[in-house]
Amino acid sequence: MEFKLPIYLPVCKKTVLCRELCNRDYFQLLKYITTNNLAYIGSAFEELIIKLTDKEIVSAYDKFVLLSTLRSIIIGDYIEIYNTQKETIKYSISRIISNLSSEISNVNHNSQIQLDDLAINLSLPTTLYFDNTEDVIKNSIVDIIDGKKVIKFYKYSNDDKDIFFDSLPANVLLKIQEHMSSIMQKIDHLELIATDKRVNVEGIACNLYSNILLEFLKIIYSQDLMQFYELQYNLTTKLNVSYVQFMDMTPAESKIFINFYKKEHKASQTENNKINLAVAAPNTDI
Amino acid sequence: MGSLPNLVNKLKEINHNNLIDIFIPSQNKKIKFLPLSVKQQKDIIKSGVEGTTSVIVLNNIFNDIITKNSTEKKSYNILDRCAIILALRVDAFGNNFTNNGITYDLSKITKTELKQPDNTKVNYTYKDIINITLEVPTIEQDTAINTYLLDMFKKNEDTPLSEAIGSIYIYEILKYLTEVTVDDTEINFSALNSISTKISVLENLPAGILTDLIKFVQTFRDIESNYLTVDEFTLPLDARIFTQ
Repeated sequence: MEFKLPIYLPVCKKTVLCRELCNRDYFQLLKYITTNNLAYIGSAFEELIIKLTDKEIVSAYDKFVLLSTLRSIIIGDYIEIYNTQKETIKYSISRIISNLSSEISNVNHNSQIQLDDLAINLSLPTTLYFDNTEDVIKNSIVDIIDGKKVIKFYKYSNDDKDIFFDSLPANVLLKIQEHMSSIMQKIDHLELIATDKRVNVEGIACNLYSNILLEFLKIIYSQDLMQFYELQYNLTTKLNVSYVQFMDMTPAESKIFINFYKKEHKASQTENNKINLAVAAPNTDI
Repeated sequence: MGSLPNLVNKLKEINHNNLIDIFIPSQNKKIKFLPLSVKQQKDIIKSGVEGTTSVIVLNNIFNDIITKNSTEKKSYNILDRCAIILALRVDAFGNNFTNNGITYDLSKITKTELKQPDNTKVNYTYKDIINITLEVPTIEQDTAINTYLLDMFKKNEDTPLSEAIGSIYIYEILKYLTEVTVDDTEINFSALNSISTKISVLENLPAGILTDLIKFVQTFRDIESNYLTVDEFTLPLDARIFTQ
C-alpha cells in the first residue's frame, strides 16, 4: 500500500492523489534549482508532477497549488522572507495558497474562439515556464475541437505548438490577447506576498502570465545542497540508515529521525556530564 | 493527440474560406487574398528592431506577404502594396488605430479605392542627349534591389549613417529606371542582371537629371501618403500598426 496525499486543485476543481516527495526526487530537484536556470527548473517540476500523480494536470496554477501544498506538507509549511530591513518574516505557504485560490477559482478563465468549424479553447496558461511573451500567448490555448475530436494542444511539444500557432490567422492572436487581458483585469490585485508596511514587507504581485509562480516554487523548494549532503551523512553514519532507505524517506521524515538522534544524543551527554561531575567532586564522608 | 499536419491543413482550409477582397490599383479590380497569419505578423513586428535598414527589411516582408497571400498570380507594383497591406491589417485587427491617445478610423481610408495614376511610365529627356524611361517598379523589382542593398550593408557594417541613407536614396531611384538612352546607345535596365552595373550607369548620369528622377519617385510617395491620410494624420505603414 502506498500513501498518497489528496490535494484539491482549484482550476480543474478536482482532488488528485499525490505521492509523497522522497529524498531521491528532492535531491534531483535541488540540483536543478542550483543551476538557477528557470527553463530546466520548470521542466523538472513538470516531470515531478507526472511522477507523483500519474495524472495530467493542465493548468499551470493547479500545478503550482499541487507543488506548493506538497512542499507545505512534506518539508514544512513555513518560509522565511527578508523584508526591506533585512529581517526575516515567516509566512505560511498553505495560507498563501488558500488566499490566492479562493480568488482565482471565482474567476471565469475559460473562453472559446470559433474558426469556422474549428473551436479553440482558451484558459489560464498550461506551463509553469515561459521563455517569452509569445510562449505565454501560445500556452493559453488548452485544446482544439475539430468536429467531434478534441485535440489536447497542451500536450504538443513547443515546436509543434509553434507550427500551429504560426499558421493561425492574425486576428486569432488579438482574440487570445483579449482573453488574457480580461483575466488579468480580474486578478491584477492578487499578491503572492501581501504588502505590509507594519513589518516593512514589499508585496510580490501574482501575475499568472509571468514566471513568478515558478520563481516562488524555486524559492520555497530551495535548500543549501551541502545541508542535504550533511543530513544524508548524519543519517547514514550516526543512525546506520542505508543510502536506499535515506533516499526513500521524505525530507520531513529525515528531519524527524535526525531530531530524535539529537534529542537522544543531548540526553546522553547530559547523563555523562552528571557522572563526570560526581566523579570529580571530593568524597567528604570519612 | 491529434495529428498536427491535419490541423495545419484544416487551418489552410479555413483561411481559404475567409478570403479578403482587395481593390488593386494596377489591375483596376478586386482580387482575393488570404488573411494575414500570426507568423507574418511576427515577421512584421520583428523588422522594427532592424535599425537603419528596418524600412527595407519591412518592405521585403510586405512584398513576400503579398506574393504568398494573393490567390492570383499577378504582377503587383509598389503602389498596390500600400492598399493590400492596409486591407490585410484592417481584416486582422479592425478599423481602429490609436496614436498618441487619438483613435483613427481606418475605414475612412479603405472605403476609397486607391486609383493608379495614368502616368506610371514616363520619359524624360535631358538636354536632348539623354532619354530616360521611368516606371513604377513591381514588388519583385523592389525586393531584388532591397535584398542587394541589405547584403551590401551587411558586408559593410561600419558604413556611416549619412552614407547609408544616401545609398538607400540612390537605390530607391534605381528601382524606377527601366531604360536609359545616351545618343543612340540604349541600355535596357530590365535586361541588365547586375545591380552594380545599373548603379554605375545611374551614378554616371549628370547630377541635374536626379532632380527630375526624384520628382517622379516622389509623385508615387505622395499618392501613397495621401491615400494613408485620415483626419490629417498619415498612417505609418510599418510595424506599429500591426501591434494593436
